Amino acid sequence: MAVPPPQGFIKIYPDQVTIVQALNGWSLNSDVPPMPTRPQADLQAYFAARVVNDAVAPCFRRDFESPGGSGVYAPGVNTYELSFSPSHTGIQFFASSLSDPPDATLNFTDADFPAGLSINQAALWWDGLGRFDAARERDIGSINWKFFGSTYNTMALTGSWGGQTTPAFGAGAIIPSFFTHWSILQLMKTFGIEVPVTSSAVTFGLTPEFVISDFYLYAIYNTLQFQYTNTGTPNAIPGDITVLESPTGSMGLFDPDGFKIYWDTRDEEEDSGPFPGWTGGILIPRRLILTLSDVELRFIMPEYLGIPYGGRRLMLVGTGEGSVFTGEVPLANYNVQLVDGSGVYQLTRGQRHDTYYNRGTTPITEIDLKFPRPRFRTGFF
Amino acid sequence: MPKSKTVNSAHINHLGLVRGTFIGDGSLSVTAFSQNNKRFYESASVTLEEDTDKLIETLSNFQNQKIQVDFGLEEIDEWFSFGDVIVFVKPIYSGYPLG
Repeated sequence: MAVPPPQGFIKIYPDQVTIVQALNGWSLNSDVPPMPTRPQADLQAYFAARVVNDAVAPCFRRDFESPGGSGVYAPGVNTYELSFSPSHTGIQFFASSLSDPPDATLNFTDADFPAGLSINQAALWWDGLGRFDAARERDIGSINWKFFGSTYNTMALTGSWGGQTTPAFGAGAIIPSFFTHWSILQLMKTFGIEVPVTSSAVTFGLTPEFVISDFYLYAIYNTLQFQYTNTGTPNAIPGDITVLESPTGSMGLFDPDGFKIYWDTRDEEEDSGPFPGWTGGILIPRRLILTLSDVELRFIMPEYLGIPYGGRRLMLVGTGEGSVFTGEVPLANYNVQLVDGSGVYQLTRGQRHDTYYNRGTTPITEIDLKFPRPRFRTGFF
Repeated sequence: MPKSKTVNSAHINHLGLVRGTFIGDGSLSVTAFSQNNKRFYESASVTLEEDTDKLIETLSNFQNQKIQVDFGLEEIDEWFSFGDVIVFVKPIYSGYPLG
C-alpha cells in the first residue's frame, strides 16, 4: 500500500519536460528533496544495475563449467522489478489544452537482462494516490504495443486510474491509461522492453492533471531449460568429429553460423566477451558443421588458429537470435591437447630458457620453456 | 680407525665449508650427499645476486666416504652461474673399523 506523497514532494513539471528528464533530474532540483535510492546517472544505468545484480545471473551459469559433461540450466520463474518507484514522492505531469504532451522513452537493452531468458509476461503497475482530478478523466482511445518483433497490437483503453495490469504478451492484453489523456504506450524489443511514451492527438481541451506516486514496470521471466551433453571425448583434437546431444531438444535454437570457441583465461588479466574468465569467440566455420538438429550437433573440431597455448580449456558456445532465445549459451568444455608435436626444440647456449617452435601454426607460435629447479652436482671426493 | 693424512675418496673425509663465485637469481641451496644419497647435509642457503664481487660461502658439517656437493635452485626460471667452487675437505680416517 503506497503512502500518499507528503507535503512538498509534489513537483509540477511543464509539458516540455519528459518523464525521463523528470526522473533523472529529480534530485537535481533544489526545491525537491533528493531521492535516496536513485542514482544521478542515466535511468538506463539504474535499470541495468538492478538487473545485473539480480540473482539470476549466477543461476544461469550453474554447472556449465563441468568439462566434457553436460550443462543444465535451472528452469523456473523469476520476477524482476524494473522499478523507478518513487515511493513517498510524486511526479506531477501537467499538460495544457491542445499542446503536445511530453515524450519519454524508457529503454531496456539486451544488456539489461540476463542472457538465455525468455520474457513471457510484463506489467505496468501504478497507483493514483496523490492528486488526480477524476472529473477530467477521459478515454484516450488506444494504446499500441508490440513485443518480440510482433506486429502492433491496439487495445481500447479505459480511463481507470490506479491499479495494475499484467498483459500476457501475444494475447491481446489490456494496458490501462496511466498517462490518461495523451499517451501511446509501446512495448517492443526483440530482447528487452522498450517503452516509448509518445504523443497522440489530444482531441479535447481539458487540462489533464494528475500525480503518479508509484509507477514501475516489472517483468516475469521463465528461464529456458537447456541441457547439452558432450557424448564425445573431452579432449579437443582438431579434425575429430565431436558430438553434442541435447536431451531437451533445444539444440535447434542455435544459429548454425554462430557456434564459437572460447578459451580459458581465468588465470590472466585478459578477459573479453560475455563470459568472465573466457575470451575469444572464434566462429566455427559452417563447413565444419556436419549436422545440426534439435537434439544433436555434430561438427569437426577446428584448428585453434590464434588461440594461445598454455594448457587452456576450450568452451563451445551456441548463439541464438530468435523469438525464443537470444544470446550465447555455453554448451560444452574441452580440454586442450598439444596436437602438433612436430615442432623443433632448440637449445641455445647461454639462453636461460629454451624455445619450442610449433611450425604447424600460422604464424609459427613460440613457447618459452623455462628450467625448473636448475642444479648441478660435483663428483665424489 | 687409523688416522688419515691425505684426502682420498676412499677415506672418511669431513666437509667443513663450501666457497665459490656464484652469481644468479634465486636462493642457492648447497647440500652434501653420501654415495647413493644415503645421507645428506643441507647447508644454509645463500641468496644469489646478479652483480657482486664477493665469494659466497656456506658452512657444512658432514663426514662420510665419497662426498659430493649439490648446488641447486628450487623455483622455475631461477638461474645461476659460477666460476669456481672450493670445497674445504679434511681427511679424518682412512676407513671404517674392520670386523
